[in-house]
Amino acid sequence: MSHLRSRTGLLVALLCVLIPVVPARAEMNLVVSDAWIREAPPGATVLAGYLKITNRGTAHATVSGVSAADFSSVEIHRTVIENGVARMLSAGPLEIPAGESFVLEPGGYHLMLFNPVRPLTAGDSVELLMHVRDGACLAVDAPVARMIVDQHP
Amino acid sequence: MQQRHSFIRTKLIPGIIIGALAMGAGIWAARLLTKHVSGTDPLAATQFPAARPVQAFSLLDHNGNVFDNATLAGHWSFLFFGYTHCPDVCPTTMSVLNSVARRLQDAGENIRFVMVTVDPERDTPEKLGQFVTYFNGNFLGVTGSEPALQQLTKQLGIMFMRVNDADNAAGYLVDHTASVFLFDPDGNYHAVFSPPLTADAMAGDFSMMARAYR
Repeated sequence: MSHLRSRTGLLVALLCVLIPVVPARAEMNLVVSDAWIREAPPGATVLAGYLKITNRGTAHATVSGVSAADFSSVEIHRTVIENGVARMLSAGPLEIPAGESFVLEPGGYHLMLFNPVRPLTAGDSVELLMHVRDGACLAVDAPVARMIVDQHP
Repeated sequence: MQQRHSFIRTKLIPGIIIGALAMGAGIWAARLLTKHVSGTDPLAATQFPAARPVQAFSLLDHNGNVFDNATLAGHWSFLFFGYTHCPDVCPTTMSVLNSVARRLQDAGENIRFVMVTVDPERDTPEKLGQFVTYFNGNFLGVTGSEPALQQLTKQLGIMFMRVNDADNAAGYLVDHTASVFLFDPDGNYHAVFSPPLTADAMAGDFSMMARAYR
């Protein structure tokens, strides 16, 4: 099952690379902003990525998955804290109604990026490929940045 | 009053008998039976009327030193329970703790910050050390066998559970209590900070508790 899954993922990634110049309607209406990858401690095998997708079109859009050449795989996850217990749930395709935005941010939805193929530190950039359900593909440059939590002088 | 009685009958008594129930009820009971320190919302700390002694436990820090009851004495300790394969909540909490550490660096208190792993199988002392010191060079990573970890986590009402997810490229995830636990210089369990955690509220609440403690 997982073999099938990863093979499908590879196929989609190839399509994404081979036909990136065929923009579908949904793709043109989808705008990704504030994309970034959280710099992780050295040796980390999982990183998190965040971004905002806005659907400027008049039709519903679905991002079925994300891939990146710098990682072995990318999954969409969601952190949920219930009764003080944190759990991560696999989150399916991202559904973005017309005119609305979907935000991936710390503590909520996020990209889980597995096994970086090169060391990534703040200042590096990673290309994320957003796979839109109609077959289109959207490339996004996500800078690697260190997360600063309410910095104090 | 009626509510308190029904709480004791329906939750507290079975809670004492059934360990599993006690875990969930722990924080709830703490909320009912204790005072909130912070005046801001959401509240960060739940402090116990009397600090609770910690039953014997023995773990190892990432430098190979024993981390046990005696290690808790003589200074304040913030303990967080997480794991290095956790890309979202754990790094965020560690960043918050670093921010708390910086806010309190001139407070005149001796404070230690510790992440205890809930994934001892993958979190070797080396990996733990790399992880925690990335956030702050003084932070300590602590690990031990699962039974040894349970000696500490059970009495604090901490839940951690391996979740096997066939779809997940990491192999498995670990659900875990996301709160931060505070121990006073007597080595007693003093207070708990429940998520959402903010450095401002945590540092503020800590300062109040430390003043009261003196």
